[in-house]
Amino acid sequence: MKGVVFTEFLEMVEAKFGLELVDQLIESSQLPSGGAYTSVGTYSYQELIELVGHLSNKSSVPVPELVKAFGHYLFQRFITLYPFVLKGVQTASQFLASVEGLIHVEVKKLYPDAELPELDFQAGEKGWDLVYRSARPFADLCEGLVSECLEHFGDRGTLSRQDIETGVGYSARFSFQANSGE
Amino acid sequence: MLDPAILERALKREKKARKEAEAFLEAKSRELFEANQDLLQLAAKLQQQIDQTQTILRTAAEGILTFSEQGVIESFNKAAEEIFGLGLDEAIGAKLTELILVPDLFTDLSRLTDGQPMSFGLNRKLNGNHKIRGSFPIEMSVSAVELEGQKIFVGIVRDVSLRRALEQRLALAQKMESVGQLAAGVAHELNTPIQYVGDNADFLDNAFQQLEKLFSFLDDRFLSSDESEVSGLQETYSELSAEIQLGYLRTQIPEAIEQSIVGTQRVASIVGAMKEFSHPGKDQKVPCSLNRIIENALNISRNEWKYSAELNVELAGDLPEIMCLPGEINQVILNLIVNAAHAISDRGLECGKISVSSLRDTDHLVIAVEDNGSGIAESERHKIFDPFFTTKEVGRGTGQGLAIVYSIVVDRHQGQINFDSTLNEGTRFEVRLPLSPKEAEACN
Repeated sequence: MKGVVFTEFLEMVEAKFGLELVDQLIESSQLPSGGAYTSVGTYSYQELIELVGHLSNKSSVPVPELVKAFGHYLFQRFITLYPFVLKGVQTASQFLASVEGLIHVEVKKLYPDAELPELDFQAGEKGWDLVYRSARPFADLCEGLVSECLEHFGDRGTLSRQDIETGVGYSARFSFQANSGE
Repeated sequence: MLDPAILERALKREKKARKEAEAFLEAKSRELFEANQDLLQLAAKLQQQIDQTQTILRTAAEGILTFSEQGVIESFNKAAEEIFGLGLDEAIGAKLTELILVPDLFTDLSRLTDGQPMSFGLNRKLNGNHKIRGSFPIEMSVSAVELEGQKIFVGIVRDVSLRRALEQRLALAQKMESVGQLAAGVAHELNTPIQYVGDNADFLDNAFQQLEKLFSFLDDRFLSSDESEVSGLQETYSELSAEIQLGYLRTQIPEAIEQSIVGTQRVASIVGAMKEFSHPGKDQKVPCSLNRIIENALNISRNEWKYSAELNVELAGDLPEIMCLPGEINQVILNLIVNAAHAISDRGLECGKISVSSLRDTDHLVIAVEDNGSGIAESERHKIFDPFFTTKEVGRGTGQGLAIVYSIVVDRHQGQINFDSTLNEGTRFEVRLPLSPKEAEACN
C-alpha cells in the first residue's frame, strides 16, 4: 500500500485526536516500518489494519466506521494534493468513471509496482454501478471515498453497497440512484 | 503539556522517514539517470535507424515518392529524380499528375482510402513524363499510410522503357519466327495463283500470235486491196478463223484474263497480309476492324490448316472498331489458328474442323477459335501460358506462342483469355478485348 495512505491516516488521527494518540497507536503496534512513513514509500496494508484496530479500541468507534471516515478525509486530501484529477470533471460519475483509466494510469506511471484495486464503472439512466475488486479488505475505504466524492460534487441520491463473495480477494458493488429531478 | 518522550519518538520517526525518503529519492534519481541514458542511447539508435532508412530510401534502385491526398509530392528519392529527370527542389510541391499520367488519380486514391489498397494496382502500367525525354512507360504501385493523422500515399515507380523495348523486340522476333515457320506455306499459297497466271500469260501469248495471223490478213485485205478482191474475203476469213480457232480463243481469252486478275488479287492479298503482319507496328493503339485482322490471319495461315481442317468462319457484321495494336492481335489470332491446326494433326484426323468467330458481348469484342483436335491434358492446363512451355516436338514450337498471346491480350490490351478443353475432343479459346466506354457508346 502506498505510503501516502499511511501519512494521511496519521495526519488525520493527529488532527482529530492529537500527537499523543498517534504515538500510542504506533507504540502499541508491531509495525515493520516502525511507524516511520513517507508518502513515496510502500508498506504492508497489514500495518494500516493494525493501526486502525488500535484506534478503534482507543476511540470505541467500530473499524468500518473509522475506515469510512478516513475515506471521506482521504478524498479531500487527494483533490488538494492532486488537483489535476478534477480537470474537466463536473460530476461524481465523470470522476469515478475516470479513476480506472486516468488516475490509476497516472499512479502507475510514478509507482509501477503499485498494487491498485480494480474499479469497474457502469453508467445507467438514473445512476451508476461501481464494482470494487481488491486483494485487500478496503471496501469500507472505497465507500468513504465514493461518498465524499458524491458530496463534493453535490450529487444527491441513494448510495447502496452490496458485498460480493468471490472466493478470491474482496469485492463490493456500489450502486447510486439519483434523486428524481437530479 | 506533551510528554517530551512522545516528541522525541515522533522526531525519531520523522528522521527515519526522511532518510527513507532521501534513499528513495536517490534511488529514483539513479533510475531516472539510467532511464535517461537508455533514452539517449535509444534516441541515438533511432536516429541511426532513421538515417539508415533514409539512406536506403534515398539510394533504392526503384523510384520512391510520397504524395498527399491532393496529389502534391512530398518526398522524392534519388532514383525518382533520375527516372523523371527532376531535381529534388523541382519535384517537392509539384503535382503528381505533372509527372505521371494517372487517368483517374483521385478516384483511385479514394478507393485506397476506402480500405482497398490493391485497387490502385500493383505494378500498374502508366506513362511517366520525363523533364527532357517526355513520355515513357513506367510501372507504379501505390499504398496508403496514415502518419500523425495525415493520409500519405507511397508510390514505387519503375522505369520500364528498356524492358518494354526488349518485350517489343521479343514480340517482333516471335513474329519473325512465325513468318519463317509460315514461309513455306505462304510460298505455296502464292505459287498456285502465280502458276495459273503464268499459264494464262503463255496461253494469251500463243493466242495473240494466232490472232496476229487474222489481224495481218485483215490489214492486207482491207487496207491495201482493191474492191474486186473483197468478194472473196468472206471465204478466206472463215478459213483463217477456223485455222486459228477463233471461237475458242474468244471464249478462253476473257476467262484467262479474269483468272489472271483473280490470281493477282489473291497474290496481292497474301502479300498484303504478310506485309501487315510482319510490320513492326506502332506502340500506340489505333482504331481497327477486328474482322479484317482475323481475315488477314486466316490468309497467312491458310496453308497450315487447309489440308487438315475445314474452316468455318462466322464474323459478326456489326462490330465497332476497337482501339488495339493490330499487329499484336493478328499475332494472337494466328497463334491460336496454327495451334488449332497442330492439335488436329496431333489427333490424327484426316479432316478436322476449325471455327473462328467474332462477336460483341456488351462492352467487349470476343474472338473465339475452336478446334476438334487433341485437346489439352488436365495436368498441362495450368501452365499453357507459361513461357517456354510446349508439348510440340523440337522445331515445331518454341513454347512462346501462348505466353505471347497472354501477354498481348492481358498485359497490353487489358483483356481476358479463357479456354475450355476436353482431351481428344478439342479446345476452344476465347479472347475478350474491352471496348473503351467511348467505343461502346458509339456502338450503342
